[in-house]
Amino acid sequence: MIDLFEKIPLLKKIAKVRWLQFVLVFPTLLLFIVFLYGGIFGTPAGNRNILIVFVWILWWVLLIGVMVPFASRIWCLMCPFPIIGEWLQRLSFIGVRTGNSVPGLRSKYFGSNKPWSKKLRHIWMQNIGFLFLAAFSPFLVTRPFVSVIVLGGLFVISTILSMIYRQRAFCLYICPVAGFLSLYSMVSKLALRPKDVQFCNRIKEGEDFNFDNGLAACRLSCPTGIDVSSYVALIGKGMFKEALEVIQQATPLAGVLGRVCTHPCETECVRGELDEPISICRLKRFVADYAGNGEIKPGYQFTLRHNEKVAIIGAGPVGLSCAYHLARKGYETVAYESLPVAGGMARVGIPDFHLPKEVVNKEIDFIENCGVKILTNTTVGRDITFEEIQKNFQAVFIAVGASKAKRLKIEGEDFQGVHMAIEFLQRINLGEKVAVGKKVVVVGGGKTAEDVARTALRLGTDKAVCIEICSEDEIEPLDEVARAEGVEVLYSTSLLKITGHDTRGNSLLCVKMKSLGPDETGKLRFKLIEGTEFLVHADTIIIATGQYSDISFLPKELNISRTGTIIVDPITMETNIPGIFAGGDVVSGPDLLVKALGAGRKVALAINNYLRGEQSTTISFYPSEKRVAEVPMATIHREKRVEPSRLAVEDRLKDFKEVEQVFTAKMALKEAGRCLSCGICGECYRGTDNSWACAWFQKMGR
Amino acid sequence: MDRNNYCGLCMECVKSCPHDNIGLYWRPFAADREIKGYDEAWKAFIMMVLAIIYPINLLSPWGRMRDWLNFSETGLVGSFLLLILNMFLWTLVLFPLIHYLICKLSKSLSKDNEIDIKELFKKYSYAYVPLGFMAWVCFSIPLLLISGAYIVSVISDPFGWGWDIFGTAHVQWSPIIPHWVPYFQAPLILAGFFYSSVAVFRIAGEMFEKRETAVRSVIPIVILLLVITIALLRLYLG
Repeated sequence: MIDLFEKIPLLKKIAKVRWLQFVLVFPTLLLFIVFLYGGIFGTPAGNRNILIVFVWILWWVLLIGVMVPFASRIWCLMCPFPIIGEWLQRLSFIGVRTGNSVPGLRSKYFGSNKPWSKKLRHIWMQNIGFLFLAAFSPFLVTRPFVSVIVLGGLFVISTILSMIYRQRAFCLYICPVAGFLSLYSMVSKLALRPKDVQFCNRIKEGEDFNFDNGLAACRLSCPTGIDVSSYVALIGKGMFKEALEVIQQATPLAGVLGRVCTHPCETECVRGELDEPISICRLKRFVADYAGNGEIKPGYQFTLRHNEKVAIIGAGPVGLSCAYHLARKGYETVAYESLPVAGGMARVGIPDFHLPKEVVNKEIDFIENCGVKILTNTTVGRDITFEEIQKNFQAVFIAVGASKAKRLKIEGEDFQGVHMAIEFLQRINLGEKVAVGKKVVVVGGGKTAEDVARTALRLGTDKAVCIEICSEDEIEPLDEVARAEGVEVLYSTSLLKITGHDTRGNSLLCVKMKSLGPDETGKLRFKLIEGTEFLVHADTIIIATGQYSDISFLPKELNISRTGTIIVDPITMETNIPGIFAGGDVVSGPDLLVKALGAGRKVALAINNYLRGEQSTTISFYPSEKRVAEVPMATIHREKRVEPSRLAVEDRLKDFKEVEQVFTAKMALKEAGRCLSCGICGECYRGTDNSWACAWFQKMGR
Repeated sequence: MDRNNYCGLCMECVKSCPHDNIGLYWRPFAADREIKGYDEAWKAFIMMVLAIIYPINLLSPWGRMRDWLNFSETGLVGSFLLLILNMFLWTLVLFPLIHYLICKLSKSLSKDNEIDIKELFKKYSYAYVPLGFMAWVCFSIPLLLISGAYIVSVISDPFGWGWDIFGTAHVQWSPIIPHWVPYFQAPLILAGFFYSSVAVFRIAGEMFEKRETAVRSVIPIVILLLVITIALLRLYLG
């Protein structure tokens, strides 16, 4: 086989130009109009009529004698029948056909854009149509008026169908000529094919792919199993809606993750070895905000395919992730949530300037639209017993997370004005007004403490100080955004007790600590430095030193670890009680949100296996564990990553508006364009209903 | 993208593949060999049968058939309907039935009980594709060489209104090298038979583990192809 694109580069240039189809089809359309005119107003003598002579003699001979054997279905590229419909579908003669949902770029098809019925995805209609044409061909090829009716009729039908159905439904399923061409193009000497078939991969779940080349490092590092390389490539092509769909195959919380993910994918990004990693997390946020905006429709609901029902206790990230994936698999799923809102820590534990509640709410709406039932204000153990749930559902997933604040058990902890960080953030996020005074001290130096301090600054405090036991070298540095806003940290400091006046705490007795390095388990050890005690005044004291899971409502026979987490089988995710599963923070202890989403997805697969009676030795999101071997970087030019804009510091503290602004479409295209495309590809959705790279292909079920 | 069947060469994949992974290949004739559904199999039957019926109706010595087809002038509506019914019967029922029986025979000759007759039925229907295609090309040759001469005059007077744009409106119709037509047709039909036979043997090679089993299984269908080839040669060459 000879690749003509390589032999004759000009051919490839021509194939790549967007106006190719227009240049070919416009003359044939004009000729078609002239022929129809000739058929109606010209001589009725067949052998003297332009329609008969040019269509049924010249065109037919060219088609069967030249085009089919040497150029396959090239006629379909220049056929005038579907072109008016196609121009109407895309509202353009030349412009791109599909997909982008970004304002300013072309977005949807014009027309109903319905999918062709699956039952009719075959060529029987073409077969019968061709038989009828053949039966009446003696009239067709001798009487101009009959030809006008048949050809004009096909032209009209094609245009109407284009306005009802997506892409070229007429050509694929109705056109008698296309049916004949589809068969005989098999013998043609010309074929358009992927150069490396293994490079092409289908994105859709449940298909068989060949992943011999391995996966991109970013994809392999995602704990939720998002196909990172594919969605970045789609963004690079301007296919934002399709990129979001790729993310939504792994998680329904694209917008949430796009803001709070710790992005291990960026840590692993091969581009980071050259200059800076791709800004993957921000790209995710971009598609969630732009493509997700207004695209959530009730019709997205997944079909119920199984009779079994699954209960999920806790509608936080892990519970919602599991519920969503179970809904995708066709299960009826009910999530019980004790708070008045769903979303767990993502909704009530993260301030708006970091993760706006509208984003979480929108994605929860999306999950509910997918068929998940969420019962808020329903505490298991109070409003409904665990036994009742066990009785009514065939599987139960305990997804309560770790939402209870760990108390320090020191003197003064119960004073007024002393808050637990999680409860403090929860009150703010549920709309409560909390007075914090002029100075706030936060005990703890992690991300939650940072969020609390920044929240306090927005509530009007003049000074927000974090007390951190580790030295500056031992802990992740304070985020520059927080530092710019005025958050201070007292490193190597520990809290001894809280003192106060009457019932109100107003100062902290602290002491300096010396680090002794990690012990054999890797845990840091500290020693108190005698004589370094000092007092820190505070109007409000907020303790942010950790969380735990409240599992008091669970049956006593459930196996619990010494640290208060539930023990599960790491493969089946099942507890020691059959049909009861657990995952997320309640199993691992407090951990990253992206891991919780992955855990939810994993439990959904495990529950499906359990309910279907399937044994599995492993549950993996990755079709291959092999990392793509080598990415040639010698020819790649260094290029800095695109940085988003941020609100000016003086504007940030006025309210809870999101500090970091989302990428513009232009910025997203540029940033995604930096991707080295290490992994194998499936971005075109080859062979699926959503294929955007092919004007033709709707899945024929073969 | 592993067959040409549903590729309309829109070139969108060439334009949009982020990895420049699409090639335009010049390949051997009849390289795609997979029929994937019954609808496609029936398409092959329909096209093969029509490629035989057309010359029978239009070229055979039985002029009565042409009268039946031309019912609007001859008034032989009943005969026309009978002819159409006969065409539908052969394309949709009788020829597929013959093919089915051939496949049954192929299976029993192969002595391979594992082979699925439905799969064999679909896969072997490809046998009629190269031969059928060549038969259609043969049918089209006289269209160009004999009726094509009308193009010369029509191009000057496209609507029959007495125009003479290129000065060829009054060129008399005269067939182009009509005596050469059979010399074009015969090799094409033989080539069709060759490609069909090779293809069906390759398909059998993919389906059956042993070469001798594959050879035995293709014997009935190759004989049928031979019969069709002889019939076509007889029709075109007289």
